[in-house]
Amino acid sequence: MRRRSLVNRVAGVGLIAALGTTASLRADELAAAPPHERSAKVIVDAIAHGPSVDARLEEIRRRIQGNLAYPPLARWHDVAGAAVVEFEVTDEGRTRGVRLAQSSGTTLLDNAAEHAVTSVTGLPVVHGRLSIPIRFELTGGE
Amino acid sequence: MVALPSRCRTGRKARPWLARACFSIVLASLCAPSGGKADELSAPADATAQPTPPTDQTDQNATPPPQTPPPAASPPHSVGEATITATRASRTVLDTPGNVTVIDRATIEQSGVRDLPELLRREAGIFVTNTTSGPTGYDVEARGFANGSGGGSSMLVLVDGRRTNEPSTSVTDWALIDLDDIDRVEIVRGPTSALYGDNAVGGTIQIFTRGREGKPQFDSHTVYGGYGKIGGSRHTVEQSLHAGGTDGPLTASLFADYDSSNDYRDRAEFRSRDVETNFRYVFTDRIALSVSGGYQDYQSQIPGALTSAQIQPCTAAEIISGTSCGLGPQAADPSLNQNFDDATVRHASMTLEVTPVENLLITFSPYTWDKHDTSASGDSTFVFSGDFDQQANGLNTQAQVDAPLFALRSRFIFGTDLRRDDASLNTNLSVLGMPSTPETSRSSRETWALYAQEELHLTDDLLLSVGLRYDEASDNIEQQTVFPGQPQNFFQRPSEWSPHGALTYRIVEPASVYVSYARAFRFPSLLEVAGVFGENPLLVPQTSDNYEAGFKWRSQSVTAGLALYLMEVHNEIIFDSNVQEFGGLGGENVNIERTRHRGIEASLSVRPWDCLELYGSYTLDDARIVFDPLTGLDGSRVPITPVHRGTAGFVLKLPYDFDIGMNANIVGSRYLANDFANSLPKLPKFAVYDLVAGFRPMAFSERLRLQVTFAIRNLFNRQYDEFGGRHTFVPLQPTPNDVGFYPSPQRYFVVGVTIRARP
Repeated sequence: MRRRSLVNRVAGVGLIAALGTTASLRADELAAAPPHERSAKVIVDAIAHGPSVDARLEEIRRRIQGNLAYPPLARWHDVAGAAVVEFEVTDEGRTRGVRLAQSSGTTLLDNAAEHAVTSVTGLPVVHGRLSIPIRFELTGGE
Repeated sequence: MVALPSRCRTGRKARPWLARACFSIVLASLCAPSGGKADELSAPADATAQPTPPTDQTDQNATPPPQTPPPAASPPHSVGEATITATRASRTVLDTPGNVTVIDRATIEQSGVRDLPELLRREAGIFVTNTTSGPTGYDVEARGFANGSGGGSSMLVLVDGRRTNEPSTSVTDWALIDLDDIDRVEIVRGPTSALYGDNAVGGTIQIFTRGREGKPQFDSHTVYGGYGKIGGSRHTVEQSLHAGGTDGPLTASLFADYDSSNDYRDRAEFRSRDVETNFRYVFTDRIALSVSGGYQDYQSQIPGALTSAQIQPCTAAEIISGTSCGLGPQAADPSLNQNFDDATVRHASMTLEVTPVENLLITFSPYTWDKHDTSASGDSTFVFSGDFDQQANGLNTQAQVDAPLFALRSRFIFGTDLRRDDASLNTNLSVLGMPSTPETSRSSRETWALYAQEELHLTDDLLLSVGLRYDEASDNIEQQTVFPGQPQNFFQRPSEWSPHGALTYRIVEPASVYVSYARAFRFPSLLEVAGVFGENPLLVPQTSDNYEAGFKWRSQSVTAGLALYLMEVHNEIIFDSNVQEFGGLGGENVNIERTRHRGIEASLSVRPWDCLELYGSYTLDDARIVFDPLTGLDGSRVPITPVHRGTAGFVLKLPYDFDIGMNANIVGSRYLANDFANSLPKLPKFAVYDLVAGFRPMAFSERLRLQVTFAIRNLFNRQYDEFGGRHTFVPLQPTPNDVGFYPSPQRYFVVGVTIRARP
């Protein structure tokens, strides 16, 4: 009964997570569900004890941001824009299934956004499909 | 009842007196959006997950709808936004120590003009004349250098960085610059020789063609225009196609244009074809290669000048009585029936960009360009015909470094320009009463230049710009001439230093002031040195010292600019028909020892509401000969450039994607070309009004867009002569028949239809 209850709760988490309101969930509650019953679309904390899901997502965002580099040619040509990249996190803390979900309209920025996600390491493990909008901004303009 | 957009509401709140006025109510109603169709199309479904690119990177040709990912049952979870910020590489208008204007694609499309010089007429400081009423007759100058004579230009024109000033004349052929292929135009008034060298004296116009990165797009632009009634014999038909887009690392574009027109004057037919292509391949985020090429040809007739008596149309009484009368302003010079210029141009260029380290950009740009002209021109006293072959090959190399200097933000630019110009002229000059004189001339000019420029931010608000350039040319002339005393072969090596220094201070956030000094030059063109007409191998380079101060304001609702300049010009090159040649007739290219150009350029654009733009400009150009022992002229005004001129206009956006605008171009009186003594009656002042109306629905669908522009030029059918001059081969005291005028177009209409499609 407890197991069934957890699955129900996990499904509920999926719905809530999709709405972007996971702040109240505990990672250890989600981790108890066996992997085969986890939904790929549901964000599940795979570690029994550790930071909350939100903290892990923020750490992923922070690490990708740290891995970003402004493409030199794009800067020289005043090219700015924003792209959206989708990915998943492996158990080793790397990314897989990286896909450009929304182009910035410029190859240089798209490539830089994809590269920042593909090459990042040391991510906290979170299962499920994630996305990150990456914005390339220029200062000093009008 | 339509709701007011927020800007209108703000404006009404801030100006209660205006809100009480009926005009405000009417205008505010016109400001109302037409149902928000555009917003609905462009607004992303989820603003947090689909960030909108900044406006400076959006395709100005269209507002592309966001690439919405396919709907999924459960969308991926966003981890939040990552942002990286870098310093913009380009200098802003406010930080540029000069009077600068940028014309974007949207402005070009809204204007409804046919040629770029028509758009440049509206700019403060720029003076445009046309002697044919068609695309081949334009002359564009600034700061008093439109003197109406000579074979050279003090205006540098660059297309994608390639110099268009031709080797033989140093003048730009504006018939070869197609408005439909232009993405952006940057105008810098005043000298930029410290960066670009030759010809950059009165101003520099940089043209950037279309072909930027973006989604695949196809444009068809059709223009029909006419004088008098629709379907009349004098009409313009132009069709252009533009296709381009990005697929992975490759961006490609193709442009084709066909133009066929019978312009305002008789014998003013113009036919042209143009094909241009651009490819850009991004190898890595540090290396990119661009390759472009094109082919153009045109056949044009030249209607020539009319006397004032010829311009007057016959009255009914004169026709009935059979008395002698005029021809009317649309007639061509009756004494000639063969004035024409046919040209073929091919060009190719490549630019390799490399950033070996993050803050260093190195560019290599080799190019080749050649043109063949067959032409004949003259008046009732002479005919000059010939074949011209010109070729230009060059390599521009530039390095830009963004690195702190003395812990201050800095940019250092270093570059070299190598160029070889060749001109081959086979000509024949037939002067009334004299034997025909065939001549051949082979001339070449090899130029090399080194330049360096430093931009140092002394504080966040204070920018110091200094630069220096050295140009050296080697001219080789070989010619066969029947005139005694003219050298057959000669060699010369002109050289010039061009220093530049400026301070720009941001006084408040949207405003800056600047002071600058710049030295500029132009070498005598090959045709001025060794052509057939007025040639003078003793010409030396024209140089100038330019002192300038200016103010700029750029906010969302107000754009303003004010520049005051003083230019001391040494050895200004002018064709002077007072210098006797051919036994008392004719003239010669000469160096005027000292001229002084000074003036004011003021412009203002105000957007009190989003739907309304009011603009205007005023230009004062006082260009005088200060001292010239050769001609004895002292204090005379330089011809053709008016002392006063201005523009005024508005653009009003109406509901349902309509807009309407009016532009007035007001030009003061000015002396006739060749009238350096200022002894002849002036060309009268004129004011011409243009009306433009547009229907520009943002989109019928995400993939199809339509734009219709209707314009009436010279709305009040004013008959005027933009250009006129004393004929060259006439006595020093000419009769009225020795003065020619080039009648400008009276009222005509232009309809343009643009269809833009995305696959």
